[in-house]
Amino acid sequence: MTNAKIAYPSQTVAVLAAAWLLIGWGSSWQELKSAAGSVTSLSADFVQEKHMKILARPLVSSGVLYFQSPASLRWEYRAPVRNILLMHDNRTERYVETGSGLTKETGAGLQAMQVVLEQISQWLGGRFDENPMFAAHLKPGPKIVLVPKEKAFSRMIHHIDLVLSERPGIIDSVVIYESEDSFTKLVFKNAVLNQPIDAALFRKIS
Amino acid sequence: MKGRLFALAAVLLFLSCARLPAIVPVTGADPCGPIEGCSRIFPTGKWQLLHSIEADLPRGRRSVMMGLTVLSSRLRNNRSVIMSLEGFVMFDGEINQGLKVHRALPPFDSPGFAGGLMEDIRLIFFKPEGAAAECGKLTDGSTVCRYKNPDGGFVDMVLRSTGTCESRRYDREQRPIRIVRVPADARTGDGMPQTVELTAQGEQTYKLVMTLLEAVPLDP
Repeated sequence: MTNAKIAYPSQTVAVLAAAWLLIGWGSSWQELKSAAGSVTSLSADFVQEKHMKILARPLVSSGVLYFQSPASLRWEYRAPVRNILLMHDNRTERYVETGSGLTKETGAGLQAMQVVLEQISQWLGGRFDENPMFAAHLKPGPKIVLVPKEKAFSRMIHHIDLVLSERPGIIDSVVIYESEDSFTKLVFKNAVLNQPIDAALFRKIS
Repeated sequence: MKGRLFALAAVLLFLSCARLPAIVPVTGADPCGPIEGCSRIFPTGKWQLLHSIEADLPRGRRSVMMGLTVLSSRLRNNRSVIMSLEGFVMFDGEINQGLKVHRALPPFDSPGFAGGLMEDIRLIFFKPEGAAAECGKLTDGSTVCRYKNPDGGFVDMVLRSTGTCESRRYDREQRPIRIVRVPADARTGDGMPQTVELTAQGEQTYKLVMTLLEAVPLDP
């Protein structure tokens, strides 16, 4: 198993996080980049719905997200399976709820998280249109549509829609289309911009 | 060379020792009766089931995933999806008059993975087909009913004195290859297993602990 192979699910997380972190709106890439520079911290709740044609009802997850500039992140699912990704001081850790409590993930899965960090660093700079993985298209709405550049990657993610809020700095939703029959929708709520966040949140799981 | 010979001898010894556990016949009452309680661990009707899956894999690897299964006990078909905790679909396949793989990403795209997964799903969620070929007691006093698999292997349904239900699968050479275990206290009020353990033995060794997150009854 190569790092590239195992990175794909984590890259999805990266896209989710980075998309949410691409904050501050305008009508051009340059305005997006300028606005991104004004964000020092973010927090929000999120609800995630997994839609598939075979499902009688979507699978629902929920959690919370914290970001502190330049590169500290806590992406935490609280239900149905608690799962915490921490990135701080160039260290990346992941904890998953198991029968023996929150267990630190080791090995290949953790290496994949480095990909997440690299992605987020780039997006934080507002360099949407410079992403090596996705071609970005700015649409009315405002909405950003991300399309994989590599054919191999497009077999895994067809495209991603980011719907921006009217409130500068906030994104309303992210929809990841894996195929015609399967997509994941994240809706963000209770977003708070540029307020102090306890640094311990990025270092410790509780 | 000496090591190879030792390994070969060990394999031959293993093969020669492989045989099904002896069943002691029980006279009088219906010997299969007590096993009926274990039949309740198998969902009846059509269901959408979501599990978290803790997987202990070879070389100390450990992974946590989500497993989605949509099944019909009447038609004995199922569609099974393995997702990352973020909901990213890594495997999607179904058994419905044959195996069909809709999506398989590394490492779930290896030859034989889909077929093996569906065999595990069948052992976990479907009662063995047909009538029991033999019922009675194991030497430790557990109640057992033995079913012959279409592939020439066997499945033993075992009810332990603790109330734990087990499905033990043997290949056609009578070697144990899978054990599914549902403890007595790991069932919901209607008998649905809250926790299922699957242990793979033989050529593949791994252990899955599946915890039920959601069970949605579907229209028949």
